[in-house]
Amino acid sequence: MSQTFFLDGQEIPFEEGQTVLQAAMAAGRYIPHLCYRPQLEPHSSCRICTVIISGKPFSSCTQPAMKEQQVECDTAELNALRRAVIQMMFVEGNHYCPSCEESGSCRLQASAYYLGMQDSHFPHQFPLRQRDSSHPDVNMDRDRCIRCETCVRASRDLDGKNVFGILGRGLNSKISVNSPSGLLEGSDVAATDMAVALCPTGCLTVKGVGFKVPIGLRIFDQAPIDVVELLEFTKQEAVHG
Amino acid sequence: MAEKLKVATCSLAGCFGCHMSLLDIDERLLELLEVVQFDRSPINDLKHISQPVDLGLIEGGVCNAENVHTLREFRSMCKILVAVGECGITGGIPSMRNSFTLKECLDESYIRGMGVEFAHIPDDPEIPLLLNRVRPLHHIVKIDHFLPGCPPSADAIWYFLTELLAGRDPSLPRELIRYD
Amino acid sequence: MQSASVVHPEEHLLPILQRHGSDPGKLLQILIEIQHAFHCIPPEAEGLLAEKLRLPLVRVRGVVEFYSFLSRSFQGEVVIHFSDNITDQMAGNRQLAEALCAKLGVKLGETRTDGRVSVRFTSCTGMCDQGPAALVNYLPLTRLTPDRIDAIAALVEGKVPLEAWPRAFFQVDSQIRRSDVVFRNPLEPGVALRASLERGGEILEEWAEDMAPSDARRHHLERGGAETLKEIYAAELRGRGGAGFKTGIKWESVRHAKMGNRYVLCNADEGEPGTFKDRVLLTDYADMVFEGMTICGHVVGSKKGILYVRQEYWYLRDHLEGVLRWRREAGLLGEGILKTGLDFDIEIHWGAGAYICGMESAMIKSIEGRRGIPRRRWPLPVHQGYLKRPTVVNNVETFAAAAVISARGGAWFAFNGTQQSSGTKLFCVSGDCERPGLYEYPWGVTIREMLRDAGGLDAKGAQVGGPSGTLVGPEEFDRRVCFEELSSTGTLMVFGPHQDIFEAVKNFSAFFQHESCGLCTPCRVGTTLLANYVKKFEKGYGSPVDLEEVQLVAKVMKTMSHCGLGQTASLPITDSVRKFPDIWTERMQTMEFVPAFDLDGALEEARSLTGRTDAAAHLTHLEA
Repeated sequence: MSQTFFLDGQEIPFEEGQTVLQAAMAAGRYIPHLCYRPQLEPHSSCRICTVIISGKPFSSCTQPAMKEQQVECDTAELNALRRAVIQMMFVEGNHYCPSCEESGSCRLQASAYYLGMQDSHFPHQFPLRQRDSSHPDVNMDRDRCIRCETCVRASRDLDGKNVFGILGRGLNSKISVNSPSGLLEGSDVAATDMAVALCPTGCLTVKGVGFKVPIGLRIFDQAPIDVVELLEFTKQEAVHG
Repeated sequence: MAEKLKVATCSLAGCFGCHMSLLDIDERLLELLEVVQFDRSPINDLKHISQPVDLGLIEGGVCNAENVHTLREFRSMCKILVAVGECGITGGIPSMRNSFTLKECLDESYIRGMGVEFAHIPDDPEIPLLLNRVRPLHHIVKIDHFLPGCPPSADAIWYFLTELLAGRDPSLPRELIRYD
Repeated sequence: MQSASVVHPEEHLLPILQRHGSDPGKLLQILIEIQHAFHCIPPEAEGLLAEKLRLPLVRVRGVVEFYSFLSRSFQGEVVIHFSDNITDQMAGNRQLAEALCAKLGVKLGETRTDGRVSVRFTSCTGMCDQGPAALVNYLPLTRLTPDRIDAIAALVEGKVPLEAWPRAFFQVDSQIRRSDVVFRNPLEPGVALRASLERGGEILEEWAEDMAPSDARRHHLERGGAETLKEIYAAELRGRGGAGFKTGIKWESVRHAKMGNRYVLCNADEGEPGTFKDRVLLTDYADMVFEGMTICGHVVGSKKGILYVRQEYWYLRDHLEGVLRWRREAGLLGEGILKTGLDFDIEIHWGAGAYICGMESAMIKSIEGRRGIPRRRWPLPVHQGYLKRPTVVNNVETFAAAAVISARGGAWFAFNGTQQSSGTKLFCVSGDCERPGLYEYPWGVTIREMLRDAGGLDAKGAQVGGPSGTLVGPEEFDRRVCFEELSSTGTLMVFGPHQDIFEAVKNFSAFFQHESCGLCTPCRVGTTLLANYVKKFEKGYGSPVDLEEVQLVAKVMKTMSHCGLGQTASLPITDSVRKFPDIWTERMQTMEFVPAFDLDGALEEARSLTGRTDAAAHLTHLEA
């Protein structure tokens, strides 16, 4: 029999080596997250999945599940803090949802919906970020980057390519490309890369297919992110056990 | 009968789409008129807010000096001020010009753009001067509530107004929150 | 030194690469040498390093761009970095930097067009007790005065090589003002190490002849290590870097780790502004520090230690390498230490200007030649640290204390201090006091005692433990500094009666904004939001609404940030709101919300494009 811990009082079974987030998702309990993807090593950078254990905050994507642990997760206070972190993502970049081809398929937007975000709250920074349309098949709009490094990890660990990396530091850190010019053109990127497919926002997109699915019929138009993510998680589990 | 609540609306740098969506609440508008009385709004075409009101709805971002004056006047007259729609809340589509300098924008429109004749940046004092960046409303004044959408759906507006007028927290249920 | 334009990869770069064995883990060390040689990382170097070290180009660039002392653009033949801690600022560093820029005809932060010089600010350089300070080509300048600035400008213009600059400009004093039981009588090199080894039994003559069976040697080492560990436990030693984790537990975890190839890392990246104890320890007590590391190697079964030093202390390089060399010759480092079975050696890694690398896991990344990003919490470094091997990371002062404990015993050490904080602690006192410098006290010393000894009793406030510590006012001066009451990395910055605490808060918020690594959202964005709110108040645009916003951002950062930097970066602000509310309220010119940016200034570009000057072409800021 597997061991259990408690998520907001609900008993959750877990296997040795599972994180709090993995065990919760496997048990059908969604914990909001953006930089975590079941296919990738956890990154602990978006901080949306933060939970409280014994009064202390931990990112549930990296915190190992432990026996009899009491985990607070779906509380009004934590959700307000998660919302504030999402709002920070909105004001640090330039997220023009009404004109974004990813609207309705965007995990940042869907997470914001899930957390009841009605405004960006903080002062917008309106950063000037370089866009990269140099590649024939893949577009990079840094305005939409939340620096989750999903592309960095996916390119390295799933595509075996190391196309992406981070330059700079702090608020000036930015996603960059492994090519002499720093542009997508001249890199090994391909439209079929998992790095492109897994980008949670509209930062990395495949050219020419953006409006194949009309607005209103996109994935998060049809189901909220908790439902979608739980479904995806179950599928991944089935593939990789 | 209790005195009707006074409501005013206003549009800055936006497309007036949020106002169209307000009108889209259709026959529910009559229901609304049972409990509210409109001051400045598309319904009566007043150009200035004429009296202090209980509730102000404002759409659009702040792109020029006139917007700043209008917003400040509106704020001072509204007990509760609501930013309606993406442009008011984030700067929205007009703020996409923030990726360029004002000079680049005006050069494109009035100097080097396609089909420009008599190249000249307009300098008539009648024309409001542009801010270097388009700003969302909350950068300029205190905003009490935010009603997102581009535009917010008629249902979202109806839900928001009825909750607010009933004195409840007007936070939208998840399914009514949209930014596009 | 060559300017950026004349780089011959074969001639200039390959020797550096070869010296480091073309090891990708040495990327940062290689880059530092290239930076020192060329005052930039030339594009040719990026490509060559990527090729020879078999690293993605983007990763090489990522490392270059992460560290403040590395740059992709040419910094000038003479690079001057003014230390910008609040103590430097209180001593007039801004005026001095401006004066120097004016004399040299160079803009702050830019390289002069002739490539001769650039003047910049950098975070605290650890010379707070003898500031205002600066670095010139990575070497420290202390006690700067207007006269010295004039002289420096002349030396730069006269193209006088650094070696010919007056020695006095570079003089760094240890200024140990008070020593207590631990540092009063420095140990003779080898005494503590021998004590540790002899706890395993007598070191027999025959071992020197290498005749003892290896089993006997191993048992001897294990017994000794176990006994010394007991002493560390008995001493109740806690880490001196700030967190106060029990050293015994850490060492034991690594000792019992299943994997071999364990490492002992010494953290000398003291970037916490106001802190300079590691500088003094590495200057005057380097033997004790290395000995502590070696003893740790004995206890945990490691063969390799690494000292990670912030580059601000580059001037100590020859000294430190010399001490290591001497210890090797004396049989205190290397193979068969003191003729026992103990093999242990130490190498030095340098930082390159990143406060975050003082964070244990970020330091490990940096030593691996990567961007100094704190890694995820699990697995802990004691299980998977440097190169994913079991790793002890301790502070310089902790290792020095461990050496003393080995020599004199745990009980002796634990005699001093308080219930939960045993032993003594070094405190770096700077700012408005008559005798700035280093003070050793038993834990539990009050702020008032320190202020009295340093001659700063009239202070209106003090920052205990650096910007990430606690801001206190006079009503808290009787609080004891120890883990159970007011914990501290050992820093006390004194703000005299004439100081404006707001300036300190502003300095610290800019510091955290500059040093945030950018990994996690709350810290990356929050540090900038906070710094901007402070600027808003400075301009007189702050209102009560903004103060509420500041508290909200602080709360988000405190709870949601990945590491200690983000979790503590808001403390100077929240502490000052609570303890010095006047510095905020007196700056409020309005009770109503007004914009953070200059409204009329936002019309300036349009005015200049249209040539308009009429009344409608202006906006007032505070109009209701």
